[in-house]
Amino acid sequence: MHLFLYQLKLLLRNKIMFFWTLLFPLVLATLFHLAFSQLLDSEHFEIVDVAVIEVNKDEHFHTLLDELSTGDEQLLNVQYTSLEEAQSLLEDNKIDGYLVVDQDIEISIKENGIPQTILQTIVNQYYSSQNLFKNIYEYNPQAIIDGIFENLDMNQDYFLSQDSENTDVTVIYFYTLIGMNCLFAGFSAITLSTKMEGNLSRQGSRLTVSPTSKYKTLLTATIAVFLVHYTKMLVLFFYLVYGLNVHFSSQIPYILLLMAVGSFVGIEMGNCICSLLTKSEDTKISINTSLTMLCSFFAGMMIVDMKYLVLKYFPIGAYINPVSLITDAMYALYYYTTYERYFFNVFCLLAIGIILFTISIFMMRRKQYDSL
Amino acid sequence: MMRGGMTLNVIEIKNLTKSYGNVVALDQLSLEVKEGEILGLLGPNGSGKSTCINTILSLLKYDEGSISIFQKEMNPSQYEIKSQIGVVFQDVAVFEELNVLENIDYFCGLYIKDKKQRKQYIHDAVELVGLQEFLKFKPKQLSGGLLRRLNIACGIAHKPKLIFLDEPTVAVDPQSRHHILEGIKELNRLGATIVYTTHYMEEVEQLCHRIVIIDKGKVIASGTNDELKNMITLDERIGFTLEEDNEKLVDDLKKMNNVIHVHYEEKTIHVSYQGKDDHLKSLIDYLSQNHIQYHQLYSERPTLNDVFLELTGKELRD
Ligand SMILES: Nc1ncnc2c1ncn2[C@@H]1O[C@H](COP(=O)(O)OP(=O)(O)OP(=O)(O)O)[C@@H](O)[C@H]1O
Ligand SMILES: [Mg+2]
Repeated sequence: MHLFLYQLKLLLRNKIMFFWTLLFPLVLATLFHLAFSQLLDSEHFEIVDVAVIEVNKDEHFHTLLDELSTGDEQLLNVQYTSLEEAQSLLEDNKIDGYLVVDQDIEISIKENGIPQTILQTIVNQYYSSQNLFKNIYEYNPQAIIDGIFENLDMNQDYFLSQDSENTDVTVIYFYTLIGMNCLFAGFSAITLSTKMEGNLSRQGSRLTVSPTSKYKTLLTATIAVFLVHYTKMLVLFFYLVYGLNVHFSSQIPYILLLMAVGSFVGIEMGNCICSLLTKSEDTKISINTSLTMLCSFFAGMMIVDMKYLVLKYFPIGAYINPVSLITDAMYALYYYTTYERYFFNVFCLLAIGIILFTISIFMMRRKQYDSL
Repeated sequence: MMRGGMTLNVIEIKNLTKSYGNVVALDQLSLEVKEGEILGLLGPNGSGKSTCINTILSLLKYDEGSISIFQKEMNPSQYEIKSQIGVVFQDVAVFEELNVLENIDYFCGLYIKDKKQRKQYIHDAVELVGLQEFLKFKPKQLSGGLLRRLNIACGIAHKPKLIFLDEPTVAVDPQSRHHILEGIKELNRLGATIVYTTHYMEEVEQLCHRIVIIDKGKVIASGTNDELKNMITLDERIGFTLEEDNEKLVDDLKKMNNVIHVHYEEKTIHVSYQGKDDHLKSLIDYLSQNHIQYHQLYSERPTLNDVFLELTGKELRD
């Protein structure tokens, strides 16, 4: 207990560790958030340049276009032209596309993109409401506009994730951030072990010559690191949920369990690195950093597609990569109504953690050193 | 504790050998530490003092030999033995994150579980090293000498029966050093057996009951201060300064009985004598008979450096 309390104290007073395991993830989360919201804003409100050729004038559609061309919610910049003019404008990339209004409304575009999708949405929405209006003899463009925006909002995720199977990419970044932060527990574990290990620090030598068992030291250190790190994880998590309004699913208890298991794996990774190598603390920290970064990279932290590439070409990799397992478990919570996939991931994580724990206990048996 | 008139050996080391790769740090070293004594382990840099202490403590593996402490074979899980030992390592071993009081409490608490007793022990330790005014200071805020004192307090607060001090006074000003040495004597008076390593011979002469001189991992001599000094041929060194140059005197001195060596430089003469005799009186008589003017006469007994010099052919300190 005495040892445990001091281990807690040492962890809490380590300022550098506080920065890397708490402030850094918070800053990163904020940056992600800012980057994404800007991305969404700019793509959502980009004004589409469109030419309209009215072969047969449709009053209703005309008013709709007028409505969409004004006000705060302006979506379109319309010019009425002849077909030839429209074609050359499109050729010179002056417009995103043109509409030919005849019996039907025909869209012509040169490339696929968000403005084109917006045009498509407008036309679709107009068609689908047309029947309705004919019946009630009352035309209400605002209803259509609302419909259009609703549609666009729903598709907003789609705009961002066209290449990655229709999933909400931004949430994956936050998942990965949580996964990575779990592994950051390894840093605290390494710094603390260094202070407890006889050949790595003089303080450790003192502990080693005292009548204190090494297993006890390891156990109390693991619990102390876990408590401190888990608290930091909670801070990060609630910042994401309440500060940044990241929509994790409603299954918060499951996420909390996942973070606990993830932190455990992170700590054991640190302990393992510590007991396997007799290098300096700095070297161990660098190894842990590289390992964490590598795991995060393969889990899709830098490039989202990485996650899918790994699954395609090296599926085992996803099962032994703790960051992947953590993100995948959260992902499973978000998209599936059953918990099988989630628990499978949690189980894999636990297995990894226990294997690492066993290795570090085993290595602990070496009690004397060749040199100090 | 006496047994049949013989003082008990607290530590017994036989033929201890330890090498770091190709470097042989301890070479068939044998050593005994008797209960209640202050043993000085004296040797130049790299002679193996720290290695010796760390192997005794089971921190380091060794290649050959045996180590027993309190008549029991020492190994890493001898918690019973370990609980009686206090160590002050050569390098300062305290936590930057903890203040003076917390540091002492942490290390003391590894041995003393009872809170009330611990509080008393910490109080005593703080008093012993004189850190009362610095209890709330972080190690960073302490000067080198104060830090050394803290280092000592952390090692001895649990009132161990056997204390190892590895050069606790390196880079400490004379005042702090005096304080530390007095503290160590006090610990010994209270009953602790002490092993003290240093390469400062003055400290050893002042502090230790018995001295072991080691070089290149081997014991080259051991005994009390006087025993060691009687071991060598040099008995006394006398120095004086002449009023005027006198080459003839130097030659005459060299021919005299019991004179081993005469050193002459800028009118100053150092004469080294061997054998027990009243060298000083015969020299003064000789000088006055020959009407030689001199001043600044002094005489000194051999130092441990002389012992070391004669036994190894090199100086103890560079
Ligand atoms: N970790 C190590 N690896 C290799 N050689 C070492 C190591 N530690 C010590 N040595 C060597 O072992 C020998 C004894 O070193 P040790 O530190 O025991 O000497 P010491 O008497 O304590 O010296 P000092 O007065 O400088 O503290 C030296 O030659 C040193 O170079
Ligand atoms: Mg040394």
